[in-house]
Amino acid sequence: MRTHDPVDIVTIGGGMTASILAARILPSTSHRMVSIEQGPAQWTYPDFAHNHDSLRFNNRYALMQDLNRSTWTWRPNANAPSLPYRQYGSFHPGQGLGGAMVHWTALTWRFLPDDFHVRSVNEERYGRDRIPAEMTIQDWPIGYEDLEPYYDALEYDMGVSGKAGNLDGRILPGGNPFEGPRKRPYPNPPLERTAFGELYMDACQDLGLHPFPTPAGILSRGWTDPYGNVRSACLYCGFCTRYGCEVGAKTSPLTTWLPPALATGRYEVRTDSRVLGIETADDGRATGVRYVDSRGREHFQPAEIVVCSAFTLENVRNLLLARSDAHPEGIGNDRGMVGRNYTYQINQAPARGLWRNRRFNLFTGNGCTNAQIHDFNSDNFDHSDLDFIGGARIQSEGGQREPVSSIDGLLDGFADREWGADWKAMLGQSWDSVGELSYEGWSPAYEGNFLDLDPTYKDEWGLPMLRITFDFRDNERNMHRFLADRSEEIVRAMGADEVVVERELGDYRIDQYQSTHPTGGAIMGTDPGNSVTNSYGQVWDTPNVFVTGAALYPQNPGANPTGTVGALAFRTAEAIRDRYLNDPGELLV
Amino acid sequence: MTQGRERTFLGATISRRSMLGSTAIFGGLALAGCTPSSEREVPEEQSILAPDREPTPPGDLGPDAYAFFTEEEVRSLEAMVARIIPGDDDDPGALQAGVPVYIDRKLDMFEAFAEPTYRHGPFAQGYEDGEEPPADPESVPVPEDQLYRYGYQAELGPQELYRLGLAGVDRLAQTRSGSMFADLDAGQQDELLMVLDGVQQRSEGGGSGSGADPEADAGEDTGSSGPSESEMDQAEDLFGEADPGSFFNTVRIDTIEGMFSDPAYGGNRNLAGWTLIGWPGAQRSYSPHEMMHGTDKQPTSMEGLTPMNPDRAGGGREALEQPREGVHSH
Ligand SMILES: Cc1cc2nc3c(=O)[nH]c(=O)nc-3n(C[C@H](O)[C@H](O)[C@H](O)COP(=O)(O)OP(=O)(O)OC[C@H]3O[C@@H](n4cnc5c(N)ncnc54)[C@H](O)[C@@H]3O)c2cc1C
Ligand code: SF4
Repeated sequence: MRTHDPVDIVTIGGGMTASILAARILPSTSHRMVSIEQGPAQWTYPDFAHNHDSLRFNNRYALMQDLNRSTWTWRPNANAPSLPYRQYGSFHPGQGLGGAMVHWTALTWRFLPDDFHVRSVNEERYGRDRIPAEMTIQDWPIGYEDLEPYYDALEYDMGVSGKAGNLDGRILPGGNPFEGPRKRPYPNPPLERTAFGELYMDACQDLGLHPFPTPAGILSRGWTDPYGNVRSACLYCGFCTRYGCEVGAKTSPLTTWLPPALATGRYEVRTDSRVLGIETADDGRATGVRYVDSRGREHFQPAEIVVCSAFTLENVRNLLLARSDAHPEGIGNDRGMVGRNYTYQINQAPARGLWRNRRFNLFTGNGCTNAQIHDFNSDNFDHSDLDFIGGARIQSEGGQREPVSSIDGLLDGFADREWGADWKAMLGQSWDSVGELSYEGWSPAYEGNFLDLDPTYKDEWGLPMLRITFDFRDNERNMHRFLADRSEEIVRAMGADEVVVERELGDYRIDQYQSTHPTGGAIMGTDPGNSVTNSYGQVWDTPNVFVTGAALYPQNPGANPTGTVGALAFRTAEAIRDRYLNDPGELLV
Repeated sequence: MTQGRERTFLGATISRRSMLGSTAIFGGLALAGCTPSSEREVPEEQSILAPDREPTPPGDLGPDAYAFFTEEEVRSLEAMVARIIPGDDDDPGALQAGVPVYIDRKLDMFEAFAEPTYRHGPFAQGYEDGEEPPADPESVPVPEDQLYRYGYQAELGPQELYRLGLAGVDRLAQTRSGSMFADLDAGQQDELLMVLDGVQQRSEGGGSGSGADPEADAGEDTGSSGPSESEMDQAEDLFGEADPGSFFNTVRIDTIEGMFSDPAYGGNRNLAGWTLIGWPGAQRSYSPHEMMHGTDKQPTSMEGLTPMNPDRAGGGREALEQPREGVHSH
């Protein structure tokens, strides 16, 4: 085993949050940082220059982790058997330099102020008994006000395109009136409008709702960011989610944080190398990480700080795997908190329409060329007479429709069956004439949904896989029925000739893509009795280990996670840079 | 993907450099968009086009030669895909678009799966409600009606699934009508395929037949009653180790892939699939006007994709090239 020179910080993974730490900590200090990344290096040019191959990127997951070497197991409840997630379905963790953000969709949200106090808000407004005993939701240790400056900095780094709805308390027309107050508007105007999005906006307005264009981590115009990166605007090419952007219009570590971090000369990313474990000293402190390179050689990288930035599932797994005399159940787990409050995203398309003789050009653009409403998200609407709490954002279908990934299921409900002459004829007429409304709902935490190590399945290196125990509950099923009704009203107001509605949520199944938003499992909280880390992601029982990413969420609100993942990483970076490294080993307060 | 076989391409190892140099040629096709002006050396490990990263499109064996299927299998497969997407010369379907060739190349190129797949045991073993769970220590007992929720769990790889499935289709045709599947008339073929489709729906706890599941105010039932339970049981018996439902679904999905993926993969001949649905294919950009009002762009394959601006001298490549210093493959 080769032991490298010690550095100040080592991260497991070279993805989004690792690159944010490097870009925010290194330039103004003399610290050194190394990231160990299991995937290959990849850059905008030339790697993404010629990649408009939907079979390869969409259906064959060219940018995702290799499941044959390591995957995750799942079971619906603690009495059911677990089986490995053998092929991609429910979620798609990425690999390679820059992580999943390289091929993300780029919806960039701030969570709503109520989302940070979800238990108190619901208890105050509807009474304690509205929260089922099994539902283990808890307030975040910080509020929207604490994160606002970091959201702001993140949005300007990314050049987010959008329309502000609440500027310093002033509600602006055309934006999201439910958002928390922001200090500055979005740095760039919204992306171009689309025919389907326009229809949706008009229908929502007619219904008295508050539609607005999607806030996107995609540039609507040329942008020079605060680091001096010069970036060009989106070409609406239609090959966006699951692809790297060939012009760098979609924000990722490659376009934004890696250049300033690498320019310091004190940041190194070792690609094609996989971390196998966090090593600890007798006193329980982490000493560094052990990893294998592409030729199977073992290395040890000692560091003052170890950061778990390997995405939600692997972050939790790495904590659980780090068992030693000092941490018999793994790092952060001295009170059995690791793996609890595992949540997801309830992401469904309950209403679809067919507009005869109309084409929407849904193949253009990207996943953010659409519009949203937050009228039925969080506690933006009265739940007094409803049989659930929480909600979802509802959106019209964006662009980037490609045949190989859209055709199966597209005409489900419109055609009798999805093969044969009638189906073919209908496909020829209607491939671009059907559109869906989808929602992205919150996922409350439950006692019975959790992560632990699988007793049976091991990865290529002989380490236990992570086992996911997860299913939907009544709150989600009831919420789905409500959202299906609202979505149906909108689709009908959009004038669809035929409408298909999925009224029931059904059971969770891991073979259907829902979102790459597994969250929780190493949650932040106010004290070691209710969480694994403090609000900086610093592990209570091992203060020189930090966790980044959505594993920190006590539960997942009704919006994509990455805006908040980024804001939290900014806040952690600042705390490590300005405080922790002056006084290593101490808990940040 | 770690199978050694996937690193080779129709028997010959592809050099990564050959794919990235000035005239990247593979399988007789110039890699879309690489132009002679892109002279700059690309470090090998930096390329996501590297063959060990993911599949590259297969080359040409000659348009109608088969590498994986036997002659008999081809006959059944052609008959099957011709019912999934029927067509003729004026209105091409799966057969005219070369879908069987697409499937053949995919199976030939990937001993296992074309997509990342965890292939190690123990595997699931289903059992019916009320039955004793099987006690085989080598497998994981799972209630039959829950299995679909776990996604792909079969031990069979796609090559075996096709071999067994196509033989099963003929055995079922023999048993039902006394002749091979390819020799049935179209109506009989459809009825048989509806049985297989029904098995798939049954395993998901749904009604029979893909589609028409959710509540719709469209697509009124045409009155054709689905296959009976006993027909579906018969199919399961005759298919043996292969599941008739997942076999049918695999062929259906592969037919969609072959009809609508880039022609470099062997199907979608003359861009028949994209022309059918009106997809312009591989394009660099759409203007706001095109997004709102439609485009005149004609279907274009990857091969015909216009070179990217930065490939040209003075095309602004610098802004897209990021510092490499500090990123090392180990
Ligand atoms: C298809 C897709 C679409 C998405 N769309 C959106 C969206 O529209 N909006 C939104 O908010 N979010 C979206 N996301 C989620 C977003 O990409 C993630 O939230 C974000 O990338 C998380 O950053 P991270 O740093 O936690 O993890 P990542 O950026 O994924 O980085 C983790 C890195 O760790 C590496 N790694 C893991 N284990 C090891 C190991 N043992 N050793 C070495 N390296 C390891 C991985 O290879 C990976 O590169 C999407 C994700 C996907 C996959
Ligand atoms: S749609 Fe825009 S952001 Fe997405 S890949 Fe194409 S050019 Fe890039």
